[in-house]
Amino acid sequence: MNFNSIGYLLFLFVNVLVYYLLPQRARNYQLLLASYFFYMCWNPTYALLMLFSTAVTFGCGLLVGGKALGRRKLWLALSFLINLLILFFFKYFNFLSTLIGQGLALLGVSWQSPLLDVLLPVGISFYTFQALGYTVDVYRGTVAPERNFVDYALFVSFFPQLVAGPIERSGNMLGQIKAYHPFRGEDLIDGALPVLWGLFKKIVLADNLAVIVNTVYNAPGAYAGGDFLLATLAFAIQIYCDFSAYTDIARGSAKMLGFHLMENFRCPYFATSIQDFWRRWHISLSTWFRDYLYFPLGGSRKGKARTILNLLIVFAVSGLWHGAALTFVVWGLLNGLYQAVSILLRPAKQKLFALLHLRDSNPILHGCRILVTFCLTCLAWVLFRANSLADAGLIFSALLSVFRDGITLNLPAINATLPTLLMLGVFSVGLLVADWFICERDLMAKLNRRVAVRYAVYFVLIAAILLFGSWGEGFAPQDFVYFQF
Amino acid sequence: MEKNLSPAAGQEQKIDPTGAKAGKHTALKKELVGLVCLLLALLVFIWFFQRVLIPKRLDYGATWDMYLKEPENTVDVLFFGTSIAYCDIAPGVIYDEAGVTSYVMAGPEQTIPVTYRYLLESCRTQSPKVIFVEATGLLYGQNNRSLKVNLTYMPWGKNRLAATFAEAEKSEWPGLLFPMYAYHDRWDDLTAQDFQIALSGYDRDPLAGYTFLSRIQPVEEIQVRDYADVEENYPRNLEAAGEIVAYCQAKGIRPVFFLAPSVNRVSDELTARMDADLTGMGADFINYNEVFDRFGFDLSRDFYDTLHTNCWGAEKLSRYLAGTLTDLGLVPTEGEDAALWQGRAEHFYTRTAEAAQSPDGEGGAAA
Repeated sequence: MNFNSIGYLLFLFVNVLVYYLLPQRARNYQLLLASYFFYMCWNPTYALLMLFSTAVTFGCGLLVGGKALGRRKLWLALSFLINLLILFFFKYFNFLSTLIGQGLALLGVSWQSPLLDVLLPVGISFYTFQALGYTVDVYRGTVAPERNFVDYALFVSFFPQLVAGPIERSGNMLGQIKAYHPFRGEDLIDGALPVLWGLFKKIVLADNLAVIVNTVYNAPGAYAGGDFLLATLAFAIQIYCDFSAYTDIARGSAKMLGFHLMENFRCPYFATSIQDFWRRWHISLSTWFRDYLYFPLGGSRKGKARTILNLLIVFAVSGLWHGAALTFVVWGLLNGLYQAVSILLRPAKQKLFALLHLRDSNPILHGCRILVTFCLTCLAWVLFRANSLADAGLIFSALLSVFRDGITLNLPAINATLPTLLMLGVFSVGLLVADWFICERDLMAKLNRRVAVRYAVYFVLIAAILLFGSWGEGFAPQDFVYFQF
Repeated sequence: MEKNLSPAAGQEQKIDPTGAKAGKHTALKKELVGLVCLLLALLVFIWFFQRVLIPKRLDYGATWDMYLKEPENTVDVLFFGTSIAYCDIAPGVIYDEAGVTSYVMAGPEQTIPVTYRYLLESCRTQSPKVIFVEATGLLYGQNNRSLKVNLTYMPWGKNRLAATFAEAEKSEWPGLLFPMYAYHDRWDDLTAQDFQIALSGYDRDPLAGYTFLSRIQPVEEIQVRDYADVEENYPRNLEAAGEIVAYCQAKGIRPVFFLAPSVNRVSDELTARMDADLTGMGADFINYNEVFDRFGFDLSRDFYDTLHTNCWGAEKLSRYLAGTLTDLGLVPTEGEDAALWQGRAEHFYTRTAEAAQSPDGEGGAAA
């Protein structure tokens, strides 16, 4: 059941209605059932896997938090071991096996890589990390071990954020799960606009941009530098719209039920450095890695060299978290490398700025930083989207050829028309502007304040979806990109 | 402190809950008004853009909007059926020849159950004395693309809905019931004509449902055409033919089923079966292939393809049909807009003369 389907909207409506009609003691049972139903719409069997993971982390949480059996570290390690083994089995086994096979082949050893014929469970990386985060929180004593299995199972499986985040923290969610949420019209109003905004981003922008991106990136040998330039730019907007749309719909849906999910994006394309970008992009994952990997590795407290090493480790793992492919690992490493270079160049940069009397607040400098960061991010997105490292190489060389050959575009060949490109361009710019106002000026709250304005915005968004959206005859609802992770 | 102790403050505290209730009530009212306005605005938006986005239909059958522009009860003969009807019959020529007003309300690959719904819908504004149904529809099965054309342009109402639910596959329903679902992606293909017609509607059809074709395909030998799944399709179509006959008998309309003259013909066996079944029901059945030579067709010039005539063939066939109408004893209803009908005949002749200067100028298949 995709968020961008009539089925989900009906599912949400029914659940919100039933939720507020039920007495409080029954509500978590309802949400748990709804969440498992939601998950089982993809693959009923894999709900058992989630239940198992839930049971393991629940049990380990109790053991880690209790003192009776001692060896808290052992139970923590066991929770990690079991969950990461499951993740490894479903997500990384084939990747590793193939990699070993290729490595041995390079050494001249012939080895038939064993491959598993298993489907990747939807959202496994998300709920596994959320559950592991909980056991660490219990170990650190920042949350008490949860003793109610239903509440805990709901924490792991809460349907709005189950398959693509935000990866919630136990400290934020468990308390909300136990709290009573009285019916408040404001919650429905506050939730409706993000849901609609998310649907607009997904159906109008992400899915239309995907047509161009997929056409070009799936046949890298057939296109020139200009096409890749456009497709890469399109992908930068597509991936942002796709993923942030999911977050918006998740947060809006949760809000309608009285829950507040953490923020996951803060105008990432207005970042002034790669470090800043990662503070604004997929915040729930970035902070997860910061709290549960980067800090335990020593963070930035052990000198420059160790900081850089830690960054590279964290970003390589982050890349691997996204997908079992070398492209993702290299994408992660490149992001780590950007930051390593930034750290190394910082003293020289500061000296240069002082020499040129440039202040950080200089608006031109600020604009240049945003532009450079965006370009670097786009270069990294090539690795994220390319189907293989070899494809990425072809694409990079095609992009470089733009400096030599100039930009030429063959619109029919990339499945685009001029009106479509214009529409997407106008909406993309509009999106970035609106996004800035949402982040910096609390636009949604302001729009929600006046009934007439709010309904006018609803109208514009629905009308845009109806007219320009990727839906209807001949279109199938597209999965969100992050579902595969 | 003083303020808090004042009687006014006490009163304020007492009044507050009522005020809050009233405030909530007003807020709820505003929400409801907002919601109703949103729904109305969306309805207007969808209604208008659906009109804009649906491809405009000026020929190739299913030209309902133009048909509905005809003054009520001014058409004596209606022609129904498949593309053969709208490619082969020129009402302007029939009027010129016999003074009988006629109109073609056919559709591509139209099956008889759909034709039955076309008949019922057509008779809401016209009272024909005779109807002609091109009979190859008895042999067709449902084709999703053609059905979509046949139904999308029908006026909303019982007949359209009945045909949609009975004839279309479930997967086609969303597009037929909510055309924006099927056509919203045309937004980047819109022209000024789309907006113009959406705003001011269609004009009357100068060809009265006929599709003007000037491409020439010389034809030579006469063939027998194969129809797929006849045993499955024929009984279903025949049942609907029975409904057509029953309706006509109830309304005093003369039903005539016919096979148009063609070089790609229905087999003798199937023709005989149609003849027996249809006349058995009380309808007339005319196989114009039996008198093929009487039309005076020039096989090197008068056909668009092996199934359809072009404008020259259609003129010959229409003149002959005018004779048939006279033979049937049809007395034209008086009071028609003679200038309009004479204009239709002249329009046809002018276009035919223009086509003679540059034949092959008009392509496109009569789908």
